[in-house]
Amino acid sequence: MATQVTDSELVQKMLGGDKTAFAELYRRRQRDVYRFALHMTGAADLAEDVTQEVFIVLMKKGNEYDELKGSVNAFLLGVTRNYVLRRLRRERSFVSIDDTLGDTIATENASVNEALARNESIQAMRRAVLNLPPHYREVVVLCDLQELSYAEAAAVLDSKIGTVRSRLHRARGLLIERLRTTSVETAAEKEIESARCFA
Amino acid sequence: MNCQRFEEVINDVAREQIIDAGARVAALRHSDECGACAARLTDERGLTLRLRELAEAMESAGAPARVEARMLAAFDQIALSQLPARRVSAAGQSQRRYLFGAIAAGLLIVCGLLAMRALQPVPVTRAPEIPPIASAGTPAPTAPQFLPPAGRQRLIGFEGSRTRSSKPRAAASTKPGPVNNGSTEIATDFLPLTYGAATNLEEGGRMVRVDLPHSALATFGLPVNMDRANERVKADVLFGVDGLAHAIRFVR
Repeated sequence: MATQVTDSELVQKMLGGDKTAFAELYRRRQRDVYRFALHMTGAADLAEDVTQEVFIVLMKKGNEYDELKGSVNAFLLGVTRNYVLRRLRRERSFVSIDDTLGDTIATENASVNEALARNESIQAMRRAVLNLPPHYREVVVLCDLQELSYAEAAAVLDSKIGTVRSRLHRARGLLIERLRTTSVETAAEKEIESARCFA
Repeated sequence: MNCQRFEEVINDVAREQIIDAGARVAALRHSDECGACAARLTDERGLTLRLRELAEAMESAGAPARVEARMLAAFDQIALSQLPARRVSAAGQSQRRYLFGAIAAGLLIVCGLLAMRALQPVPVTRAPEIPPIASAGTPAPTAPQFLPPAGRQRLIGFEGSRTRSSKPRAAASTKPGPVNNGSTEIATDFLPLTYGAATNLEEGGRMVRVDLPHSALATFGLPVNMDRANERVKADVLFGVDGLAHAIRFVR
């Protein structure tokens, strides 16, 4: 039975000039990097840029990766986080949600109305996440959307597990509040629209 | 379990994380008894569901294929730029050192030649006025006090007398015989040996003729004919009243 090569082994091979190892590592990890950047920025082009930058860093500074400090994924997400925060500071305009989700969430069996409602719900959720302050947003993305453990998230964020837990608790509280407010506003808008129709 | 403790574990319960089984049971029991905590748990579970929906919707999202192509191209470039650099640093380090050494030596030679050309005085001119001298390195007992105004001026400004035109020769020949054998000697300008040589000679002094090795010319930046390196060269040394040598000129 063939055992799969670990990410750490791929990094070592890549540092030795093995292009195949790099390609394999890229295919394994690019989604995590890209999604983290996309959830954090809300912009596909920026997420693409960040993904490129992160893997170039891996090529150039892969020897800085220390297996004892965490997984390769945590290393890559840590680099991603640094680049994302840099871009957020530089551009400060990040609630432009790309409409790339519409195609992905429609299912064949669901009715059009259900699909639209689900799409709307997801977009609202996405907007709410993007409106969180970055230090809360990153824990929600890592722990809830990318399903990292507290320990892994702490390694990515270079902080303590307790900090991650408390930030996640606070972030989720904020999300619940914002979603509630949004749903109240949406209901009010619908009432106004229906009143206009019957007027 | 009370509400405060419930709040501590509510995230893990709502997110279905692995926690102590006893704590989970206690939390659920508390939510059955406490309306506020039950509502909180409902909200948290609703949030978890919506976040999972978002995560599922984004599951297939990834960087476009063009990024992979760019990355592989970048890998080739980086490998090309870094590996040869390492090779050069390992194998060509000594070559580079030799190259730098050769360049530095070349520069030094050029600078030396330029400096020699700049400092080189016009080698000879007729000595128009040389006071009586002593011979062969020992001060002559009858050496007169030396204070020729013209000589002093020339000592201060060396450039003034560097001509070989026929006029000075004629002028020199008309002046009183400056050297032992009359008009056959040719001398360089006086070269100062100390700072403020002219000032030190204002109070008087004397000139002593000495024989020096030919290589002494090089000490004063004068060209040396290597074919005659073993020969001796005559020089006049000006001593001040302080007994120190303050200037020198070479005589042929």
